[in-house]
Amino acid sequence: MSRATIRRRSRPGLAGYGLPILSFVVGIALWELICRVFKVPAFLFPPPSAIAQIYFTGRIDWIGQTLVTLNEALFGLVIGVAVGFLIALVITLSSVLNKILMPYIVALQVLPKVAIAPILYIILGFSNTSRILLIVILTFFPIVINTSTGLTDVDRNLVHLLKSLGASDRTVFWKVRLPNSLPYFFDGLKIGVSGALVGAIVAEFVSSSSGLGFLILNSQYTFNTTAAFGAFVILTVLGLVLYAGVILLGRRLMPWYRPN
Amino acid sequence: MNHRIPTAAFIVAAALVIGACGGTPGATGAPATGAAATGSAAPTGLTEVVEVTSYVGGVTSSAPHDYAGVTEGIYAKYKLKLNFVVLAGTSQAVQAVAADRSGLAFTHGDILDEMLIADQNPDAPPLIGIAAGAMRNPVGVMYLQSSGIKSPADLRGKKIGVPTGSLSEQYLDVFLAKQGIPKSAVTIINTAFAAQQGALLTKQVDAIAAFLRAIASLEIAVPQNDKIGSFVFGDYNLPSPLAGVTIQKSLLDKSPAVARAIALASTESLHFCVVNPAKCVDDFVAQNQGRDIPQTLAEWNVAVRLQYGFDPEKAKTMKPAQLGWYDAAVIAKTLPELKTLFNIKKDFDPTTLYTNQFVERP
Amino acid sequence: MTAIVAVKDVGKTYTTVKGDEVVALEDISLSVQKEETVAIVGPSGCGKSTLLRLIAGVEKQTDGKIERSTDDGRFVVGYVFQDSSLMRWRTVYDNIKLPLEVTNKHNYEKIDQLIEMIGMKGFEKAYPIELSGGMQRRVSIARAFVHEPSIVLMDEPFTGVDELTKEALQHELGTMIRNLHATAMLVTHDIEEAVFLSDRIFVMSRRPGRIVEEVPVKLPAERDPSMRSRLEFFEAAKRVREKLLSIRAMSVDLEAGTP
Repeated sequence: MSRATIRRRSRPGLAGYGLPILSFVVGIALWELICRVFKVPAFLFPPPSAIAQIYFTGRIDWIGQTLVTLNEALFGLVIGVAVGFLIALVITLSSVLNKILMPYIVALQVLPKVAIAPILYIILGFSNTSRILLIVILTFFPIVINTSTGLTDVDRNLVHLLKSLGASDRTVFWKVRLPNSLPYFFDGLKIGVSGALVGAIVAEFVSSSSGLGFLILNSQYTFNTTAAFGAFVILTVLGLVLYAGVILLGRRLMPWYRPN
Repeated sequence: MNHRIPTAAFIVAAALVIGACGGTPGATGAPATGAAATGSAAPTGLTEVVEVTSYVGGVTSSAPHDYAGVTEGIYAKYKLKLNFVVLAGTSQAVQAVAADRSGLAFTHGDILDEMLIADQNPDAPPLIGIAAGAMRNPVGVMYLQSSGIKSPADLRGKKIGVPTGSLSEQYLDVFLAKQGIPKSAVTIINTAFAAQQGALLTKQVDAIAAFLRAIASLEIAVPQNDKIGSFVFGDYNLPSPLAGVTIQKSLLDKSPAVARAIALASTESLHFCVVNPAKCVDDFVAQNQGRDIPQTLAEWNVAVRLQYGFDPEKAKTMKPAQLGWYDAAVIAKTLPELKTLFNIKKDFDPTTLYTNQFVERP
Repeated sequence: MTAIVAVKDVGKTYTTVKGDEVVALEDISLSVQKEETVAIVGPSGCGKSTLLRLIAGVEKQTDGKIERSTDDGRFVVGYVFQDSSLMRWRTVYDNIKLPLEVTNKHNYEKIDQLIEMIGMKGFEKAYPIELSGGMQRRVSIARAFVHEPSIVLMDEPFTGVDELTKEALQHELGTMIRNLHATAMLVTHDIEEAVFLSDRIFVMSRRPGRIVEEVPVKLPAERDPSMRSRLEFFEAAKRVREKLLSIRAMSVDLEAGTP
């Protein structure tokens, strides 16, 4: 009897993270150098040293503003995910509804949200509801597409297997389609997460009274480009953290899955 | 809006929050006063706090005094709670007031926009000004002297940055026409308000059409070897849009006490800001974080001088309500000019466009 | 002997997307007795897999009938696919458990029994991604037996496996079938595999698939690798091979236009 061995994928060790970190540090240093050597005016392109200081002037409530935007993005994301998942279920289970809904879903995706935003505000009011709805619109589509692919792209043999055992379509759905769709759903979630942050900023740009987007507008107006960059940095970090969060969540929930 | 993220049960909280945070501002307000609906009975102060939306026209600080008024407790004194909604420009803000379903809203709009909206949208609720604002034409063309522009005629062949569809663009069109420059002779670059100054300073455009307060920022930021030039539209006989605190007429008819409160609070806030510009700007920037304070202060001082035409020393001796007085003669003279220049078809009885019932003659 | 499955004059015709009719199977008649293993050998595309699906009840035949006999009132199949087709989100244990769940049987001790039989004790909690191809196949085989099916249907279960591993797997499978007293039908294009594992071999022609020969395998019930060197093994294999070659020759002639 042959000896069986388990293959375990290796995670990148410290050496694997070393190069990206080094690249990042070098990039920052280069940026600082260029700003100083070429005397780039701060209102055009501030150096990293100035950006680092802007967090401590005391005039701007960075944490508060970040939380406002993060709050909007997360609520929008959660609702967008729920809505997207539901729609994916509906269009998978009913081909009639699929045909009815798809044109609207695609239309909503294709329309530029910056253009829709003001109309949304006027119809629903200049409040957080409209902002969050905008974010939902920006996040639900990748969830729908990816999840519905995952629900339909199943191993036909498994379906045959279950049917040959007398299983109903319902059983096939719960035992095969749903679990199969999980990795696809997470792929959609990765896209959705960045969509949510972008959506929060777009919503704030069109109308808001607080948040990182509002802060960016205000700082641009008085040439406080350094503050705007400070906001960009925070947004980038948020985006990375959320993305990493999705990946980690995926690893936790799908220990059986190894992406290519 | 609560800044703390709920740490548990997002999904459950989301549904609740949508309901809580999503309410239309002002929908809850119900003024309880003993005042008569219309007419001569002098309305009294509000007995309960009323929530009102202040639509701010643009990030261009057209209303620093309302933010300061809130911080200094002036609005609270008149039993008003403000929800600020910031929009792209003055015109959008006026449209938003017209579109506001509750009617409990105001903005620093102008009589010109009141007429334009009524002219183009017969179904829109009529608007009315209840306290005068900056009576002068606030728009002008600003340019870098290094671009070779010396007189308006030099604008031919140049690139001018202005937000498409804004009051500034409309005035630019009138200015060019009056100077005999066909629009085809200049290139209009659609530039958002927030981007205009940057566009000018980096020479992406040769000139911009903007509110005059921008001169202050530009003078601070302009490189050493260059200077800012300007054509103030008011100097070229372009009629003023006649700015003032704008509300729906139905609000005045149904709740004159609320209208009165808005008029008085707004003029008192304005007075505070004219007399205490530094504190005013501090209050404003605290709620509009990211702005540079010295620059914002310089802009406000220019605005007071060139757009409002106030002398801070003189204003100290005036009563706040006097700052909001509409000069009937000026308006009577300006309206026909506005009508012609902006192709307004409808005829307006001036008394439907503004009222002095809440303010005082200086 | 009781026939577990009796296929009588069965035919299957498909309609293609374009509307043409394709006859996959024609006049198929065969039977599988209790505790017998039969093999179906034929060229690719001859309809072997279709026949399995018909017997499994996943598809319905166009002509003829399929009689399924049941000992205790139930007829349920076990299936082994060409790819292991395991549920990658389930552990080895839960993958094997699947048929028990679906058929509502609760003798879960069978799962451990089978895991031991396929030599994978200790791997109950492993996921398919952590297993080699051969191990995955073993799990899928165990899954086919766990619910004591009336017949185990196997569709080219060892395609793509290297020679040595294949022979080892075939030996394990044969032993399992015997120890569990299972009835089985095996579809394969590997002649040696068919001979090693089965009691009778049916040779099927090209499409439209027909049974053109029945070859009995005169080897004892207990088969170990040494059987491969026996004369009876060669004879059966030779008969099957010659028939397959003649099928190929026939169709070549047909293609060339001569009857």
